[in-house]
Amino acid sequence: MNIPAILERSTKAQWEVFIQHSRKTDLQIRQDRTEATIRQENTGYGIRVIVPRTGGAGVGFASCNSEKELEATAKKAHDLAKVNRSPFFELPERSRLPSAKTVDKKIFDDEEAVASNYAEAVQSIIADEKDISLTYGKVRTYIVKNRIANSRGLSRESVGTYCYLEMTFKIGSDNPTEFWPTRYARRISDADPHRLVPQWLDIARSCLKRRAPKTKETTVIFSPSIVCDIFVPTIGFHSAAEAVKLNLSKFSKGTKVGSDQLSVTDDGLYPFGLRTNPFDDEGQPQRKTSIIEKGVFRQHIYDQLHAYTMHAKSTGNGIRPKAFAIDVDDRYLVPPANDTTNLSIEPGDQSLETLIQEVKEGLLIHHVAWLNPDPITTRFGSEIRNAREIRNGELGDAIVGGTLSGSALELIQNISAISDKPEIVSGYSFGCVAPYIRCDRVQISGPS
Amino acid sequence: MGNGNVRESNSVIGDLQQALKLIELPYADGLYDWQADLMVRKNKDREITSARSITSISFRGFAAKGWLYSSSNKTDRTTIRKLASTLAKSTGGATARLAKPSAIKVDEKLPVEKDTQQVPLEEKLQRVRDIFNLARSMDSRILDVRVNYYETIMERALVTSRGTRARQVIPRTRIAVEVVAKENGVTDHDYLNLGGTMGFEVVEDVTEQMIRETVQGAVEQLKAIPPPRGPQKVILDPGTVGTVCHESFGHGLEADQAIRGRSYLKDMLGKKVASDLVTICEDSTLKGGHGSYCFDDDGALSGLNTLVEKGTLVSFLHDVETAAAMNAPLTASSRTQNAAHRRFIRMSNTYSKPGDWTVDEIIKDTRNGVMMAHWQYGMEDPLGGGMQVVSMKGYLVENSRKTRPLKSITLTGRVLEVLGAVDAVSKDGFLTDPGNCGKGPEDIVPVGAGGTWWRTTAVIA
Repeated sequence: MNIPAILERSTKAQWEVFIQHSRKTDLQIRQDRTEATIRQENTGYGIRVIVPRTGGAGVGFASCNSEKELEATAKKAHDLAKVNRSPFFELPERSRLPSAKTVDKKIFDDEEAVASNYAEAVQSIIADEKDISLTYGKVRTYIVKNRIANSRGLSRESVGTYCYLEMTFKIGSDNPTEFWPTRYARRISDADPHRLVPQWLDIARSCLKRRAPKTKETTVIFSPSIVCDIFVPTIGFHSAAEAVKLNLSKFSKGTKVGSDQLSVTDDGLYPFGLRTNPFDDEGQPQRKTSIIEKGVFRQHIYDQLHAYTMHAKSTGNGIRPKAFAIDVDDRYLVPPANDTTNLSIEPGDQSLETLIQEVKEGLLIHHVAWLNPDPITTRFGSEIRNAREIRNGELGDAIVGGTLSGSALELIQNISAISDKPEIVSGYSFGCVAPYIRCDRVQISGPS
Repeated sequence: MGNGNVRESNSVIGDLQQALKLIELPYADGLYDWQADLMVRKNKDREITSARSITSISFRGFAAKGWLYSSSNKTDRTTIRKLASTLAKSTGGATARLAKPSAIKVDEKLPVEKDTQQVPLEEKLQRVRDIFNLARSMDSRILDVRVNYYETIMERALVTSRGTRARQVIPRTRIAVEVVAKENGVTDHDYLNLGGTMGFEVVEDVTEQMIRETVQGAVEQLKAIPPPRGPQKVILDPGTVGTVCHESFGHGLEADQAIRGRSYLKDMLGKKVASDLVTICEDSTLKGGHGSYCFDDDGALSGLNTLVEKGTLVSFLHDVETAAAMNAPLTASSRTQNAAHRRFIRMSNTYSKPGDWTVDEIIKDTRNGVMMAHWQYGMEDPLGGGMQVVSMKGYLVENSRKTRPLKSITLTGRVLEVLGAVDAVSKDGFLTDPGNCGKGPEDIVPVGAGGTWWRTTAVIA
């Protein structure tokens, strides 16, 4: 099918098509059994049309997952563009692309076998546990091929692999509690079951003896996945040029926004990062952009629309976001937005153990329910699901229950240390490379 | 009968039914799903107009190695036979039993007052622009207004090896208005959120007064103070009550979680879980409810289920697998995001039934406390029964009067303690809010949640 010809014929305007083909295997398990096996293949098309109009443009977006609906979808996008009122901008032209590591050969060669072997490995590891059971788990592997083309002659293709892991570990039998981690990775070695699952089981085991926290302001060390869920929606939002345009960004160039220890880049080329790709979802080359350096805000990130309208250069941040209800293989469904690629927090030079040793009294929080900070105010409040008390530099009782609350923008001013080993992580947010981060004066509330 | 994608679906349903015969497992079914939507978003920077049309089909069989699914977005006969053949190769039906819903022959569309398909696109956009302009004009402190209009039509057809051939068309429409205010370097916001299995009437029914209250809410937040922490009397608005009933309480009633040993309510059937004033229902037939449907994705007809009757737990939520395992009646609670996803036990419209108080009486009877308003989000804890419910704002109640505005409020503690401490339920103000719910972080389905006002004793974080 000659898709460019169809789009030329149907739209007679600037057009862009994003085509995503995916194959995935999803194994859902419980202790030693398989609950469900799901195999899926899908091809989707996201079409954007830009029609010039007096004082701006009309932009329409339509998507489908049927080749035979392609022409009708292009016409729909055109019809939507004709009634839309937006600023005018031009789609990107061809340019040189950097290289990026996005494919795990093992997943690419046999994604079904990798999922199956992973599930078996998890079940074998958990079989030896006495006090912990796997009440539910998902092991999923994907091969995703992206293609983007536009009316300015741009045509690009890339391939990526992913795996997704979700486990619920039931801890104890009388008055049990739970540890419920999730993790995306691009290659299986970043989520090696023989390394990751024992780490998760250690956290679970520590919660056998637990108590609720007391209400106080205290020092807290956050796990990388919590850092992801706090920072990506807030630092990401305030770093975007769109927030500047809307007068909502709290970040302006050269101002101090965080502790001296905090340096953050948006790194679209981080090897095997979750949003690593040679080009963004508009076709612009991805790159590494310094956002915060030693606590000072350096630069906003731009997609094509905001680069054009704000007279800046695109930083490769036109992203079809993975969001609530949008999986990594559903991205053709959403129009590009001004979003982060991989928010990468520069590691410090101290180990996690040293960070703990320096704390007289505090908490190490591994997991909370759903942080979901408000991007505008950056406020959040979330139940503590799995944490450890720190007393005189040593880990003590497990802490379960109660609430962690605060504001992300206040939190980053109170960072007192950052650990030395960053991890590619995900939580409810997607695309982050984070170490452990220690903050002072964090509000913890007990449940009674 | 309904519209939807009739020509396509009739042909696909026939092909699914034919191909189903290839699968020799004791139970198998075929699902067709087509969803088309239109989204219009406006803020001061730009408008986003976006439309989607997504098709998925799947076969599912109950085998010795659990449920097997094979799915695709392609609906041609060759693909359909190929998908069925994948399952046909599986041998050994599951030894576990499945409940048997009666074979149904249904072809229904949930009715709406004003079908969005009959409203011109220009009219929809103009309404969005009118709401945007009105809100922007109401106060000089308004920094931005975001109006989100969303309409969707879902057509879903199910054929089963037990003879069911059913099709339903579910239209849903939502309108959300978020107003952002700024003054003296402080930025804050408030929202209006309406919708359900409704048509364009939900947008036409947005009044100037509703917009004014949202604008005033955003401006009021600029001077709001943090809530007082600790245990205290808490008055919850209907949306927040719905979030407690759905997120904190209801997820523990999904029987698949009970069977996994992952429910804090597993051994509580017939026992007291809330105060006598609390009755909680699940109603997939609720008129206009965002979570309403005609039949669930196992082919059980939708209905009203009472979960908690005057404080006593009387029912879990079931699909064909758990109803058989727990020897319980089906509750039509098997749902999926689309045919490419697994079916799970899910809520539909969850609400608390009205009580005897008026809202004014509850406030007058509360010497000091906190009122939570405009729920923001909640999170399930099916095993632990912990609480995380966050409202966007609230008010202090001082000397039996609603006084100062409060910023975001987080309710913490144990849900059974909060339900057990409910000492007033209003008879007025019933509503259910539209929302979307995941089984964990994935598998999203539309739901409704609400009730009337509650007063309880709880801990504010």
